[in-house]
Amino acid sequence: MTCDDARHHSADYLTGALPGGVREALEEHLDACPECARDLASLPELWTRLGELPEPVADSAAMRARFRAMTAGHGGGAEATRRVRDVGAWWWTSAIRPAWAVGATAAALVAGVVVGRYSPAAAPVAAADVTALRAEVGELRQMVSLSLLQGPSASDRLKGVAWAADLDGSGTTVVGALLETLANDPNVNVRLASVDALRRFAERDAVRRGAVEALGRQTSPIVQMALIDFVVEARLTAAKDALSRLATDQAVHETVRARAARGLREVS
Amino acid sequence: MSSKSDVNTVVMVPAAVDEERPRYGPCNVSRAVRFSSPNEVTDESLMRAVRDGDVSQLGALFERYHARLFAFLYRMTGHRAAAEDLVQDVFVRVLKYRSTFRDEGRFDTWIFRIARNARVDHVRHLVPEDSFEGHMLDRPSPEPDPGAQLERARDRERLECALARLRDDRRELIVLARYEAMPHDQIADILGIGVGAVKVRLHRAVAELRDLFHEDARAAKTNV
Repeated sequence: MTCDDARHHSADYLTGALPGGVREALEEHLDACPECARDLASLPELWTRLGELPEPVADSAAMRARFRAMTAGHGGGAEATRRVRDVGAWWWTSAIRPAWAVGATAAALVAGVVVGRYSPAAAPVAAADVTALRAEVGELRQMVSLSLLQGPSASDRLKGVAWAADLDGSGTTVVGALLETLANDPNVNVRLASVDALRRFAERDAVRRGAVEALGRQTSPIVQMALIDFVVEARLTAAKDALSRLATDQAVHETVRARAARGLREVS
Repeated sequence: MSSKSDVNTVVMVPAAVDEERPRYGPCNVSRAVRFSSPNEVTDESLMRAVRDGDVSQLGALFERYHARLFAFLYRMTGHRAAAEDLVQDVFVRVLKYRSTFRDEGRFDTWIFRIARNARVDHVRHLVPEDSFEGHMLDRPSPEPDPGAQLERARDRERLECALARLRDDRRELIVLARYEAMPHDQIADILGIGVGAVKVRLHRAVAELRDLFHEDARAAKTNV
């Protein structure tokens, strides 16, 4: 066995999935190769120690009560869940945060207008500085977003999509990167997030073309559904052919077929 | 991990037989194993019922999966309340997207994909001080003590901190492989990557964890 082979088998070795003969060959190699022994031999011990960390214990009773409230209010979906969330925890959750963010931003805007209206006139130079600073921050956010979108990790690319979605008046570069992500990203979650992010730019021709092309190519039912919603909301008549194909293709998930048929009627 | 239920098909058994384990020590983590029995209701058939309109069957799936999902999400967020909220969010999404569950798909793979998605959405709205590291690494270091028991406790805490310092995607691989005891092909399905990539990344993640752990241990000795 070579050193490359040894590293290749490392994960199976750790999880106990290595066939007996290969495991013996690997262990012989570790005994004979000091470099691999340094690199690999301590990993099983660490793997064992990981198993000794305490298991997180769920508060099943409380979770069950919330779940029952959620299903009782089914039809309200997430809203029903939020209603039963205890007061101490609800304020920071991802579902509620945007509302707070929008409220806080609006309050800051109003305060800014009031202060600006009744304060002595600020120097024009300071206003220009603020504008320049804002532009620089915008450029920086754009760079971070593009960098994340090109990363090897799906989690990073999802963050990149989120950053891109939050950019004010994204330029063609960021929108192009989002379209590229929608067309080619191997991870379905990232592609789905890019569809949501592109909704803000649905009036742009490139985005409309990209959505129609993606609708014809995507095979994931979730992404197909999101794209159908997109083209229906944007009233893209150019998507008729793609919708028609989805509505009649027996290989497509039946829910997607039904949604495509309805979408076809809505854009016609 | 899974709670008991009349219709439970996920049964906890010891991790592996001895001859399948690495030579360096036993594994004390349980593993979910599916036993087939003609009378048992599978996760997939319950989910198909939910998908087809019988929402009451979701309760059985909640009983089977909530504790397991909580453990996964707690290990990924380092935050109990966040993990509980996310479990709830996962089941809301199961209802919302139930029509996309495919007949041939495995339910646990599907729901773990949803759980990852929910966590990623959660992370998108975090401010830095809410991050995993903010909760795990700000924990005060234990006082120095010569006792072997405390030394082991400190080691465990250092390992938790090292795990928290790993990049999200690497920690996720370790959590799925070590604590969920998922085979590499299932992890590949959940992450949307190849089996080979899972093996390579898992090796790197564990090696990086070891380096971080030893780095912390050396730093602790220097500070004593």
